[in-house]
Amino acid sequence: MVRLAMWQFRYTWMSWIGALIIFLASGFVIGFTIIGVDSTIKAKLNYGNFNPVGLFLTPAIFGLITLTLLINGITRLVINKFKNDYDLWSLLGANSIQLSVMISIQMGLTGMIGGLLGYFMAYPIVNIFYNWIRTNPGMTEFPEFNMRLHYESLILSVMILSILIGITGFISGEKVFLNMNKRHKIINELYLFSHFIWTIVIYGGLIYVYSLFFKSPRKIIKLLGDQTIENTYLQILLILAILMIIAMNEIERVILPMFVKVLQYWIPTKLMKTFQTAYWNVLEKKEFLRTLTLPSFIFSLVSSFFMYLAFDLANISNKRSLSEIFGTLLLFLGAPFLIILANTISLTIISSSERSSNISQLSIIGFSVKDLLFEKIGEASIYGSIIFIQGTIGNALLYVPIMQASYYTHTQMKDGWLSITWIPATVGILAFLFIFLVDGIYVYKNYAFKQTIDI
Amino acid sequence: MNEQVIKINGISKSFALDKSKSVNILKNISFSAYSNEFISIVGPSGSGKSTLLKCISGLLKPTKGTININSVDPYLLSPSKVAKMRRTEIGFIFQSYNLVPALPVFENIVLPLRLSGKKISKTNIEKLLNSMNFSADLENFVNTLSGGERQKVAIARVLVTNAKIIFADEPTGAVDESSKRLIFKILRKLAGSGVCVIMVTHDIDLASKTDRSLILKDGKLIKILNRPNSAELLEEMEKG
Repeated sequence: MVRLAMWQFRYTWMSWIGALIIFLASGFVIGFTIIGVDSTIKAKLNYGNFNPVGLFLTPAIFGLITLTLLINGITRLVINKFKNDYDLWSLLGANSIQLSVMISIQMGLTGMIGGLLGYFMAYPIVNIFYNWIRTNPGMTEFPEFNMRLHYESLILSVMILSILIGITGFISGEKVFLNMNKRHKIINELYLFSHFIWTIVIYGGLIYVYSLFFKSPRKIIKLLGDQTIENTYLQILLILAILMIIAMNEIERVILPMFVKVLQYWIPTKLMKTFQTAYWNVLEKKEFLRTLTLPSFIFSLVSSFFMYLAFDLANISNKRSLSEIFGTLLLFLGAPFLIILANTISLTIISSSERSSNISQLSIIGFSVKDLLFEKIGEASIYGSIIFIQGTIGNALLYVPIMQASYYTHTQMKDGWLSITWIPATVGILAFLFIFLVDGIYVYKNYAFKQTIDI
Repeated sequence: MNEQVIKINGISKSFALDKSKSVNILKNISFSAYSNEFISIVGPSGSGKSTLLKCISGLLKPTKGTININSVDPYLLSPSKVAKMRRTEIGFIFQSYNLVPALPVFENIVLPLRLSGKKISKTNIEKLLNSMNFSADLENFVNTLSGGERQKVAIARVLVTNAKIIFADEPTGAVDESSKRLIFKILRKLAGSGVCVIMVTHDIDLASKTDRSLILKDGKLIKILNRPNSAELLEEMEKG
């Protein structure tokens, strides 16, 4: 199987460049951690209250959890890209395990390259970051030492990333290939039934947790045990955020096409003659839409959650300097943000040729390069708008309980209702820019200089 | 005595056009196929020949009816057992060759053996290809070969598995005249050595050289001709 996977990798390596972006970002995060930890241990400073190891481990933990959650989307798109190839392998007798091993080896190899490059890119950054963090009040006690590149830490970094990507790639591949093969009727019914129960539990749980914010604090404290009111609200807010993410994951396939359809009435379509084509193109590529919007939703929600926590509920902004808050947020959210951003670029690159597969047909019927580019602007604006709408709705749902918690904990809310739009708007604009940039380059590269069309 | 290897019982296939409309591609088709037999499926374009082949080979589940390959319904098997059946019991040859573009000639041919974890002999593969007048290099990638050579690779891939049932969809449709004669000769020889070959073809001349012809029109099996000749085939197809 290794041999076959290597042949397949050799044939498809160009397509893996897209996935390399997210693996490179992950390699950067792991490299950051490993260089920091390894240098601390080699300097024999891994002890006491100001042990820098914990500081370096945080980005890797948050980053790798994010990567594990996102790999499924990448695997799915890569498999879709080579669907005809894998259908053929299946026709020739390859079972789902063999196909998953093949995907896993190719992903592991790409992860290895990402790990290697990311490690070297992390080296200057880890130095700068550590020196900067030591300038913050409360952090000055951290010891001074120089970061070092070492072959052991390089090997460890590359191995951790490639093994993690290989294993998660295998698991997601197995899931995709098992779905591609039709399941047995009884297994299918069992799966549907258990999924139905799971959905009921999640939505029931979400409604219940949401309703807790409208009950008297005494009842909630009693329910969760003897705790302070602040801790109680913090815990149920965290549970609420997790339930919202799972619930959104469950409902995405249903609501996303609805959002797109609603947008058709909202956007002034007559201003852009290619909008209808863009609209149908987005609706047809539902998998890309879902893979792109879910991580963006999670990021908007989690970032807003931390923002409300830091600036409103915990009132940290009054107690600490802005650079200290920024440092803390960077430590916790920096790695997930980087990986989600890289994920958006990776997904856009991987699926660009598929999403633009009808371009040659459009060119034949008279679309100029300008029309094609406007069509891509239309698509990118739909994706960006969906991310914005979805994130804003999620934040609005989160904002109400935050206000309730603020009221009962007697803290003053600094952020108004408008704050629910900040992060979704930023993520939406970034997504619009990336998608338009990648697809625009694809269109320009493939059609701007061509007089004839390859069919 | 020839053994029954395929039994098709009242299969129909329809495709939904929308929630209320559907189109019937195959209508209540039944027949059996035996080892040592070369069957051709003929009929005008759109008569359902390729759909029938896909249904009986386990690639497309019929809407109604049952299919048994070596007494097993492939649509009731688990995905891993279907994969095993495709590696060991049945072989496919398509007009579009269905070769893996990532692999060179040799790897394409031995792919089913690798997937089954079987021993591979390069000498045997070379001998096999020589017997098929294959002239290209084994290390060449399949995209560099001519249509005829590609089809020989696809046939060699089936031959190395020793499959006892071969499904061929227009195997000579995209090759030159000499390759066509050679490919048909190989399939004929296979049928003579105990294999059951079921071939979809437009070519009346080739169909007339098979043991039995199933004539399809508008999704119905209108006639089965034993030891057909060209005149009979043409007459039946026109009669419909």
